[in-house]
Amino acid sequence: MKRFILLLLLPMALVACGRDIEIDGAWGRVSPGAVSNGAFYMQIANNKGEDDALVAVQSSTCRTIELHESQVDENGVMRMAPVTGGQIALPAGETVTLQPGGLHVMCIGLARPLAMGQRIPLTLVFADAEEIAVEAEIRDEAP
Amino acid sequence: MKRLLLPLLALTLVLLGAAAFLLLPGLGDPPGFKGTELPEPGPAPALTLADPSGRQISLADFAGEVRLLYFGYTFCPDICPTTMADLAKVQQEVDDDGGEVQVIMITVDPARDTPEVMAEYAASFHPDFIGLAGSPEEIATVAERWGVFYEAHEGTAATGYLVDHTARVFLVDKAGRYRLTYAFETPPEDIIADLKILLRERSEEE
Repeated sequence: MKRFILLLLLPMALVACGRDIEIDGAWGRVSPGAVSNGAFYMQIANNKGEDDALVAVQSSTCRTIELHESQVDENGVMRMAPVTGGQIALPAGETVTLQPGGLHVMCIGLARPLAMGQRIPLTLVFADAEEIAVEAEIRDEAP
Repeated sequence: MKRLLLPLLALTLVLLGAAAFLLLPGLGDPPGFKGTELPEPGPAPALTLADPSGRQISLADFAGEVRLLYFGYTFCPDICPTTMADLAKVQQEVDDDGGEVQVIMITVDPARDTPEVMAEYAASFHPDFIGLAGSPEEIATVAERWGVFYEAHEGTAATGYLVDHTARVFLVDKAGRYRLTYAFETPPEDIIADLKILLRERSEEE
């Protein structure tokens, strides 16, 4: 019986190990008016046994991209600033969520406003893992 | 013994009722608000700024409506659009119910946000939303009256500067009283629930 369960678990383990880093649910908000900036959000799963980090994101849609974090303090004051060290830590075996009001990919200098239904190509650059290309879906709310 | 049972039972019930009354304050009060209530709601601080055509827009122009105020800036890609999108959901729901609510956004970045930029930004979330800007002095005066903190801090070459700011939503009731505030990430459903109560109130004063 035990062997049977192990056999069942094996393919699942193989799938999980299939990709070192997995990106899920990448999206960005429709631009309000003619704003020059935007933000992208996603979930990043580090399936490896070792820590990694998201060090940069590239896209021809933005003049510059910075990795930012918004934080609201106990007085309700919001502060948005580049993440410490300029990179987002991806601890081994954990999933890091980039979401409104927290970590996000800040797109500075949009060539044109982000429109509903667009898919924006992003290249994610990691400290160790290979680069990953994803498309962020432009929507009016989180998926 | 049997004759004592009924009075004893009655007494127990009375005592239990009294205990519940003492232990559960607010049991008989009207339903509470989801937002944070101001301890002493008073007349809303004044707010008058010019729209792109130069016309003065004042909070008092919307007397008899519930007003939701938010201070933010258009360069902000994260918290500000998230809050405004939530307020658009609130407005949509209120519209469907035929209620009257006015959302007003005020910039805390007067150097970059002109009246035109603010009007377009706010209206992109809902056609009835109003976005206001003003001179740095005007914005400073309004922010101080409303207890809004804002401070620019240096960004990178790309961002120039970013603005830390109070991220709460302020509610002024139909009678013009500054009444409730909402923390960032308050679910739109909570604000809608409060509005259902507030829109039933009478509007006097102003």
